[in-house]
Amino acid sequence: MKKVTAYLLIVLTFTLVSFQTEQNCDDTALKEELKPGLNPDYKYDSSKTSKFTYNKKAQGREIEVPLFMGEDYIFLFNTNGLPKDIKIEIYSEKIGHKKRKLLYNLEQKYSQNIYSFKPTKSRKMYVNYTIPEVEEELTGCMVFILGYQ
Amino acid sequence: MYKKTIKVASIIVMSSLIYACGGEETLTEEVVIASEEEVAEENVNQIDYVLPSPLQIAELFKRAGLTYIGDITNSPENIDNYNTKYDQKLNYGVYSADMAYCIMNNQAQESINYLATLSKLSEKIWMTDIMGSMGLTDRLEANVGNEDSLTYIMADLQMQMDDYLDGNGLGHTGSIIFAGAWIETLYLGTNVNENERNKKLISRLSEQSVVLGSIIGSIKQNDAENDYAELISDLENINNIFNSYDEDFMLSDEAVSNLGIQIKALRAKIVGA
Repeated sequence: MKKVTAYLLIVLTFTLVSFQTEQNCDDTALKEELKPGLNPDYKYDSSKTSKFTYNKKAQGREIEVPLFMGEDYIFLFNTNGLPKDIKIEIYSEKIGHKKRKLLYNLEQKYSQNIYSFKPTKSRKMYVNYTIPEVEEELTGCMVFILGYQ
Repeated sequence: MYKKTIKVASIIVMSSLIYACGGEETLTEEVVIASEEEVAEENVNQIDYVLPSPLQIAELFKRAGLTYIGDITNSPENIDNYNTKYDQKLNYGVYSADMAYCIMNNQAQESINYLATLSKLSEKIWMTDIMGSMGLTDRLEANVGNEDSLTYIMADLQMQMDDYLDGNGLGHTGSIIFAGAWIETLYLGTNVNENERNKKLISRLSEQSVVLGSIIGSIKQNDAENDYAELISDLENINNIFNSYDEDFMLSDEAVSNLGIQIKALRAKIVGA
């Protein structure tokens, strides 16, 4: 009886933990949090929700973002869906390109979830996420919105 | 009794684990540990694409001198010819671009007609909720002549549509819709340029290779069944035209003319003209 009770408690714990890690990603709510960042100068253009499973191997994800010359844009990021910080960078060329340059490195701050970046020169850019390795598997997501003037 | 309890508990554990893992990410079984510094270039295992909104491209072209020519947009009456999901999605994009073109050029009644067409077509591709929930017709009618407000309304529509597609696992539909919108916008741009050569418009047409690569990449990424092989092939043929840039990254007049011919042919295939 004691063994069964213990087993059931473990099962219950797993169930609660699994539901909790999945709840980190309500991408609709995360986008809603970002939208005020567009006001008043920018209009919504596009967005991307990137969902991750952190595991024992570090991973990368890259998003290609086409921008038009001479136009003004804002990149908005919401890190509230991440159970653990990831590295967020923006590059000038896609991964593997010899002339790839780092344009922006998001430095995450404690108690801040919303970040913005306004490129000084518009061209195709590459948002790069590096997801660190973890011991216990976690899930989460990153939401990105692009606004234009 | 104990055996039954353990069996049920095991099912619950398995269910929890499957639920926690989610539907989108694949679990890896490797136990290799790597530092973040080692990851950067070697282990990017997914490239994603973000496509600009048809509205942004319409506004770009408008500022570059895209004027209104009546009757070159896709007739709303053609909607009854689109019976496959493929045709419906592509032409949803075509009509979106036409609506943006009309809004940019203060064609109020045409804009409302295209909105009605989009509502009708959205039912066919299961997007009814977006059109209904936003009260768009009332908002458009209330802001006739106010281009600024109308563009914000269209941006809202784009946001709602993206949320709907993402939330329902239909991101691939967005790529096809955008392909239709992009082809229609280039059709409008090359047509207007044929009427009256415009260097700014040629510059924006030349720049479209920036987007086309992303469109092709995005469609390919979601085309495991090869449903869009022909569209991809047609777009890749158009992409070849952008290899003939001059030193200022502008297409020559001959290349622009060639672009117009190819776009016109592809557009005719899509709208059934």
